[in-house]
Amino acid sequence: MNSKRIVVNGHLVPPGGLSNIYAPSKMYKEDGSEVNTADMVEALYGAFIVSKNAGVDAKLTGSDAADAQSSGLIPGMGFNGTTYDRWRNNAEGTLLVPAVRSTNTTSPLQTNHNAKGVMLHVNITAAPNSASTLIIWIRAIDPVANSGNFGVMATLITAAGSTLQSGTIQRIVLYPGASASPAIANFLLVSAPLPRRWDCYVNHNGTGNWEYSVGYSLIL
Amino acid sequence: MLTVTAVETALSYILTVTDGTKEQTYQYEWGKEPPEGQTLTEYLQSCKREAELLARWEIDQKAAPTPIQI
Repeated sequence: MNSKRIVVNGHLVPPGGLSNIYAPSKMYKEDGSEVNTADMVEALYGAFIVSKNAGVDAKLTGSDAADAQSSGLIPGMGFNGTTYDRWRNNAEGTLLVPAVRSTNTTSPLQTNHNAKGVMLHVNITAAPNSASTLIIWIRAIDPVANSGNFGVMATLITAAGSTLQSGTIQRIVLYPGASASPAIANFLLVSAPLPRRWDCYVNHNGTGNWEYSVGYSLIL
Repeated sequence: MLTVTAVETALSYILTVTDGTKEQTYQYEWGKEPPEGQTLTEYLQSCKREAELLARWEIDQKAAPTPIQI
């Protein structure tokens, strides 16, 4: 039996503490031993899982499975409607690696856990000609239609010869309240939130080889 | 040597890239609707290529630091 599960009047200590539970003069763990101060501190502020199902109590470490847990964590887990995910800090990653591409390209689907917005970093290192353009889409995935085509949120046209030049890292910021004024060079700002599922779609307008990468920074 | 396998779910295509030399896997998920102007086959081939590129990128990022002259 795990000694760190704390029961008060037959109820597990819930996420957030004891404020809604009648506090008796003594409290006991499931093994029958009395709760001490260290147990309370760990229960209220430490990071271990409390579950109505037996056998789940454990401290979380960096190597543990992060998401889709069947039980909540104190603190730092968010309920996604089905399971619990880790609460994230600002995070970053790669959508499309640096490579030569000649056709429309879609990034893998991304899951936004708790960020409000995102900054895309579009680094174009080679363009086929000055007439061709790339259109960068941040697509919100519609949970009903399960498609991004109905949820286009931001577009950027960039090409050699256009306002945003090839050879410079372009940034697209999608964040509630983001303002395009005053203008920032090589930034496109759009005021909108980032949904849970999203991806990036690059539309090649014209023929020829482009070389580019797309990275992202999720912003709380 | 990287090998790519794919499965289809109700919501997405899931591509798994296996690094045969280290027996590690990298998994990526794509939406089910091909972009305008692409057939499903072309779309899946594009997804496969991007999955391989991403896996190779992740593998390269894990490489041990190399000493440099300063």
